[in-house]
Amino acid sequence: MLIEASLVQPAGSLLSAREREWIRRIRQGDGEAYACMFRCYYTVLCRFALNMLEDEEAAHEVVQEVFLRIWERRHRWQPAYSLRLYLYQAVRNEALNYRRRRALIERHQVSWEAVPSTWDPAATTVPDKVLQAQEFYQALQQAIAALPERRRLTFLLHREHGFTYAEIAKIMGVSPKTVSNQLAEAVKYLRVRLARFQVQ
Amino acid sequence: MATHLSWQDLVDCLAGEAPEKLQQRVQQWRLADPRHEALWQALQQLWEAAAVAAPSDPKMLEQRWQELLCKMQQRGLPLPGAEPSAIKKPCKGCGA
Repeated sequence: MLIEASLVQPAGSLLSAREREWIRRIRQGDGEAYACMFRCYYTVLCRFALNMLEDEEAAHEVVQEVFLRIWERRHRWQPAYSLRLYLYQAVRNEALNYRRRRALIERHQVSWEAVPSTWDPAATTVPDKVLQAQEFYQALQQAIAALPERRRLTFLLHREHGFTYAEIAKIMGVSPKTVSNQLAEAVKYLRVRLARFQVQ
Repeated sequence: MATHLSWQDLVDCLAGEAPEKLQQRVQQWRLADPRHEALWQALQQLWEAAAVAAPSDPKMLEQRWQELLCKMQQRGLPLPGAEPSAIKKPCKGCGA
């Protein structure tokens, strides 16, 4: 009799019953469970990849590659700690690989022209009066985009993706204390950038 | 900002990661000076505004699922067989 290795959980695992069930079924080749996981996570993972790559098609390519590999290796696939964390870590690694490959290609291109940035933070003009919510939101997005990458990702993983310090630390490969520091620096910067907006 | 509270303290508090003692200190700090309260309100506004999640677009999801299936075919992988839109049972957790 075969032992169902997929159900053996390591100590400290945060896999929910739903995640364990998905993993068990996907390992057995269940396409419906795989499609359900895709449906649940695809959009947020693309958003995260976009935060890293700033290129929408590249973000889709990276996330699809992660899902492809899971299906390709489904019989051996075993996220140990948390499915959500596993997927974010996999997307982060794949996005870093993608960026390395792209840099290599660009270095070897004979003629290459820099693509102008779609916006320039320095050129952004914001009226001095009390501004509408939409303007505040736009200015906030621009300020977030101007943060250094690790700070920006840390901030977005918390605010947009809802991860805790401990979870972000695992995804980014740093300590929770560093996450706290990065967030504080991000907020300090955003506050300065958005100081002209009055609280309503 | 008062000398006894750092940006990190305030952000830990906003993030819901501050221990109870720190939460109490932040509360006292806010009450101590209207400027503190104004700064807290501004930070909270910024914090909440940044938490807007992107909605999922079913059409885009279907299109990307089809792309994924094409890539699987190109790599000679067996297809999962079930499309996301064909799943009748709502997903617990994400509500999709």
